[in-house]
Amino acid sequence: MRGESNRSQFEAHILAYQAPSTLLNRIVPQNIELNTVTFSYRVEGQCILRCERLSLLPGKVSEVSGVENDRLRLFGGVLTKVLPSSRIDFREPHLQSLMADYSGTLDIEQGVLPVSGIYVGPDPEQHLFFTYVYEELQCRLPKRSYPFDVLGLFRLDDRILNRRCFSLSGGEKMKLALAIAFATPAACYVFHGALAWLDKNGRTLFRHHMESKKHDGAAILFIETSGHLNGVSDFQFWFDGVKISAEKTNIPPVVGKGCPVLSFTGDAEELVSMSQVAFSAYDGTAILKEVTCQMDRAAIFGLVGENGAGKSTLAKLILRLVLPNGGVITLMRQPLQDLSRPYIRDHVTYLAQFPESQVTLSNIDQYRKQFRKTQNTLALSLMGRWLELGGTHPVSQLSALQFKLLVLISGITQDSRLLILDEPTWGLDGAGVDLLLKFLAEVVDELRVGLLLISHDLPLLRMLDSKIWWLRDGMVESFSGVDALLRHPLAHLHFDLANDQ
Amino acid sequence: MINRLPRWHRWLRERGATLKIALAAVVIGALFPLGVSERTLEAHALRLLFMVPILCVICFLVVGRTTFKTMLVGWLFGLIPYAVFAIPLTLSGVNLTPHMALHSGSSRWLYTGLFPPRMLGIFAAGTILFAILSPTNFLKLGRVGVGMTVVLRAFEFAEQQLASAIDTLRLQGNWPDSGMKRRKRPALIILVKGCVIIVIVCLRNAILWSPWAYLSFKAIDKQLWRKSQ
Repeated sequence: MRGESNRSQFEAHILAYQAPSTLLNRIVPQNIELNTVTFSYRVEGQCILRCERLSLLPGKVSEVSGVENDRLRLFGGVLTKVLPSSRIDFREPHLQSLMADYSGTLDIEQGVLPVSGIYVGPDPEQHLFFTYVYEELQCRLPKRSYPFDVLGLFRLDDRILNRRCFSLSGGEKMKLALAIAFATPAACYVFHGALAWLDKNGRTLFRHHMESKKHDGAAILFIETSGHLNGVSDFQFWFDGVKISAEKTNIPPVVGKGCPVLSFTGDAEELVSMSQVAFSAYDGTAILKEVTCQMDRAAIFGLVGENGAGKSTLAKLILRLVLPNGGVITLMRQPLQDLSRPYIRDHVTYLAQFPESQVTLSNIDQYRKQFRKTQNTLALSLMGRWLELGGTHPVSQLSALQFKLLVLISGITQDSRLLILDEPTWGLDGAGVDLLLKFLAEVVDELRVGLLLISHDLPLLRMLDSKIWWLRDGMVESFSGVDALLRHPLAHLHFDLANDQ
Repeated sequence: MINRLPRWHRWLRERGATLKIALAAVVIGALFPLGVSERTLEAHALRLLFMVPILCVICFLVVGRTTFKTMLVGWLFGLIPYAVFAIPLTLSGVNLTPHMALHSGSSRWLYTGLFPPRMLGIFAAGTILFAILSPTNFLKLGRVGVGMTVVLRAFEFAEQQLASAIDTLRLQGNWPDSGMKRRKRPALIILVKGCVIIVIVCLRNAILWSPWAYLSFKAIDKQLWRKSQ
């Protein structure tokens, strides 16, 4: 009996190991040869999203490019049936207004929606719903899936199982959300804006798993408005802000077309210097071991490295949000620990990965009043030119680009010397990235500030002709540019410019 | 930075909600002077002095140093108004409880003095319960459970937003700075002003997070239902 039980356990293990593909084959509607979907999504009678003749074919990848806005999330929600197909009525009027955008009516004019679907959007925090990683896996994974196998899909460290989801880095969160998505069998997968978060390994594995799902017969929809994976899509669609169709009309340009050149005169004034800086987490894990680097004013630096390498931590050290365990950091040749907070605030501006939490006032008027009170004429004039919104416009209704601009404008003063931007391009389309770069060009031109961009976007860093800090194994290596970085003997293991377009 | 969970904490978290709430109710009930008279007040005091340190140690291990410190600060803040009222009343011979006849002055002082450790014990037990209560516990309860999960997670989300909101306020100079050597305004004034902003920002972000989370939890609930079949 015991032998039989062990055997059945072994078989169960094997079955579980193969579960994603075998279960998938049962779910995919094999009889549907061609499925093109046309639908409209209406909220209070107004059509806020229309999709025309979208191909959702088993084993094929469709790509959607164009404008980036919140409606793309609704699109993902509709396709994967997260959004209800008819209006939800709540007794409480406040709840009704809160859910207004999510309780519309779906009219399917042609075709059928996939029987099951998984959506992963650009904000990984919107896809991790539980407190701890193991809880996330326990609740979200299909029966007979092994958490370690799932973490292995994106080579995530097994030890993160007992970590709080929010303590993961942005890239790790996205990898976890993607790993759960790939481990869950479905007929259709919608991936939206995931690339900006992933390092080279992440992108390679993403491409590999996508190919494997494609091979298994799932329909894949890939929404990327600021970049794309070369050579994966079978069909191309465009989103103009409301309508998704094969027609390319009113589409923003690709990043860099019409983007100003950020020119510097090569002012050699020292801005930030780090000497043998070390930083460990509360549990003693060494995140930064011996960081020594220097940044000059009026220069662009790109901070690159793998997900979880400590890029954001390095930025927080410069901002003195965390204190180093060892080493010396200087800002404009003065030891950071001796500087007052107003001095740091006036000289360094920070744009975090998730800028929503950096917005502390409720509407645009309150910001204007604050600028007037602090006599920050520069911020007032920047706001007039770059963020022309009505006074009572609530910040909760701002787009990703507007959030970023608002945080930057409210942080910039006449004394600003350094802007630190953490993953500035995620959540933006080509036009959004261009607008942000134009804004930065104006600020650089006016104030001669230095820029520190934390990003995985090597083509962008190359376009900006930025110097590179490569954070690897807790240490920083400096390069004169992206091309110099790529000449490093180990660069091919970590970066792949050809596929990261 | 990295917030890892010990194995025993995970074991506690994986237990059912009913067991956790029942355990917390028993512990909190034992801290109250139910059925205690003047004669048995000293025994009750000994019970409190035995239970409260144990609860505090467990709380420290479960929630970590930062949250434990915050809880202690909250408890100390609560003691100030209590002391302002309780000490003069006890001095003037007033009995602070209507449920017990306290004749001697020493019993009255003992009763007055037992209130702070009792509150500390309740705070500690409540904090432990909140830390080990997992949103997944409620998902099994159908539509009501989904609502409860969303509310609980929205609070957790707000708590998570706390760290970034504090960072923002610190950058703006509206929160006491650990590395700052010279301060113009006392830390307490900065703290009080900052707390209001933090509550507003965290709640706003949690509210904005809720609609999508509600729909996603409904989808997860369906998935769990299918899994259980």
